[in-house]
Amino acid sequence: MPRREGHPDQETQESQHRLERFEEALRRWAERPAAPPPPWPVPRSSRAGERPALPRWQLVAASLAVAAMLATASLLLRSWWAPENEAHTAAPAAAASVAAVASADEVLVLWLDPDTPLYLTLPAAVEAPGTERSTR
Amino acid sequence: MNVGEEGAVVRAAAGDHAAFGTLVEAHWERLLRLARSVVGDADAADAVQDGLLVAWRGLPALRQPDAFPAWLTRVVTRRALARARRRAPWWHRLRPLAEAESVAAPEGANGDGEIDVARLLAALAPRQRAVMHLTVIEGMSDGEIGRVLGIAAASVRSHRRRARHRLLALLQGDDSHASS
Repeated sequence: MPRREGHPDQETQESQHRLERFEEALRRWAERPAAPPPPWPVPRSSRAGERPALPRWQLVAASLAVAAMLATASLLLRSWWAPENEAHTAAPAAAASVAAVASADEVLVLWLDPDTPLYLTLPAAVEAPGTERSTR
Repeated sequence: MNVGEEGAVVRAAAGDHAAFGTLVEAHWERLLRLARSVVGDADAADAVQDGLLVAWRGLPALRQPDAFPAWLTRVVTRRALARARRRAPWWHRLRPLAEAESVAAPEGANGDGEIDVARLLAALAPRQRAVMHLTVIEGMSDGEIGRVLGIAAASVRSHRRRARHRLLALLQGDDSHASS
């Protein structure tokens, strides 16, 4: 018996067919020839089509402007801050949140974000002779 | 991964630039294809370069040289995803995904009936693009994709289901366009 148009099975088959066509097209698209890697490492500004880096004097001027703004803001904040709140200002800054920690041998690895590992080499633990570590 | 490449990983981890260069050459094309799917042609090479720099810095911490290809894929994919998210306007992140995609969704095929893959991928969320690429091109399992993206295998399936749903809607719309 012929199926009516719009039958769920037929729709499923058509959907499957469309997805297969897309996946086939994706394979062809992905397999386009890729440009060879540039010599590694490459200064980014040397690549064609990229915006050249800012001239050094502009960087220096921008840095000075930012530093001046920060200094002004800091002075304003101090003059505004009431002396009775002084104790709060002395509180230690919150530590940067650590996304993950792993340790092996004498190396501790912290990820402050998933892509930026920070490696700390820990000195080997030395125990004074005659001391016993409490298990409690 | 062959023995020679494992040796190159060990030497690169010790600071050998030339060894790292051979690893870059060996993996460049695969990584560039992945980045093109996630972030588009224009930014793909930069995304791979970002990932390679992170990999170079992190290589000394890699304990198992044979894990290098998967680890490198993970690093580059995450850099490409971060770049793709930065490129999206901030208001796109606030809108519900379906709405954002329907606004961004272009026609699925060129006038000659060829599927316009780049435009269809652009209608997906960056993570959905990565899932589709790793599934179709790299042939990875859900667990492997989950490790690359840092998500559970069930989330991988969910992303793929939503991506396929979106792609089907676009492809169906295109077919009805063509037939009318």
